[in-house]
Amino acid sequence: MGWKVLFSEYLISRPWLTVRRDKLQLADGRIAPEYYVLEYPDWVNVIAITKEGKFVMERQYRHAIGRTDFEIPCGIMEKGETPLEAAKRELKEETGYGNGEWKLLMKLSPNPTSMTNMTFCFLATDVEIIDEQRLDATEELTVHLLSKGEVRDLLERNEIIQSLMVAPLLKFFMQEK
Amino acid sequence: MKKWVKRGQEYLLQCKWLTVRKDIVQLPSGLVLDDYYVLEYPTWVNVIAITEDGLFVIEKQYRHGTESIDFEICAGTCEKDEEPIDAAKRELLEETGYGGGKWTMYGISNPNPAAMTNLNYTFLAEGVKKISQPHQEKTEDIEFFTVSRGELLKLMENGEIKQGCMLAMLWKYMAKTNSENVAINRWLGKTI
Repeated sequence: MGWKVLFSEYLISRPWLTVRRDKLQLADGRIAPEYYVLEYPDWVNVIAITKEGKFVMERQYRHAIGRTDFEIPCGIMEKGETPLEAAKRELKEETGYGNGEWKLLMKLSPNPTSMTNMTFCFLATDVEIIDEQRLDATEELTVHLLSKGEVRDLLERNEIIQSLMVAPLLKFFMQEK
Repeated sequence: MKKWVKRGQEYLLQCKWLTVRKDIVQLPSGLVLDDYYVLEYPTWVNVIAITEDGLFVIEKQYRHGTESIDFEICAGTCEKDEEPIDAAKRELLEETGYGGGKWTMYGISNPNPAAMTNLNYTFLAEGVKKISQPHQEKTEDIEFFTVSRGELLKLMENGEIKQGCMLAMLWKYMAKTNSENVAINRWLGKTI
């Protein structure tokens, strides 16, 4: 069922975007002359719950869709980092929270059709403030501590719509007793 | 929270399958980025399709981005001027030959709001049946099956379904229909 790459060239190679064009032979021998692949590093996100049972949520403007929605902390894995290290670093940098118990909740893909990367979703419980917020120059976000009911209401009202965040949140709600 | 202001844009690539736009943007802090990449996509749709026997219609195909053979629910994109529900019905019929039944809008998600412009509309189609042969596109090589709720849940849990917009709505469905989870049912009501 897999496809064979006959030819490959990079059209765009920038820090935030890498576009590759492949010429492919499909399983039945047909040729697909231009298949675009977007190469990305892996991503991470975190459902972080404080000792008091509050969810550490963020609000951030997202330029491609022109909307500000609620999100869970997330980020990009750096070279040499494990997913867990990246997730802990992003939570600390974006919110100042850390420590607690961590486990991998799920792995999923934003777009397996054309994007190469996976997102690792973690659940962190009993987190606490361990540092001040240290944002990148391009990050502008606010941190909000919400109750479980408030997070469920946001999901119900489509105010959390990033699929890579909705999936682990709903898996978490499904599995908790 | 304030939006970013677009000061300029340039299309780097514009073809049927990929449109790349480079924006010059000014953030509320005053910082100007002269190379913010935006990927323009049409609206996506996908379908949680359940047959009259209560089985879920799922597909299996090779996905070149992740170079993996994945299980999926039926999915596609809206054609020009097409409403999402019409696109969803068309895709289900073309990819699997299933149709009919009762259709409702189930949820909205997006795959990557930082860089991708599109939303994904998920529809729940209950009581579908096989009404024609599939007519797949040139790059589509799709096998399709019907599976039970338990089998579908297993595919979700072991990562054999991996696409974000599919998993988001499938986990919503599983959470809402999980009869073991009394707390969830009390919150959401027994109805989907």
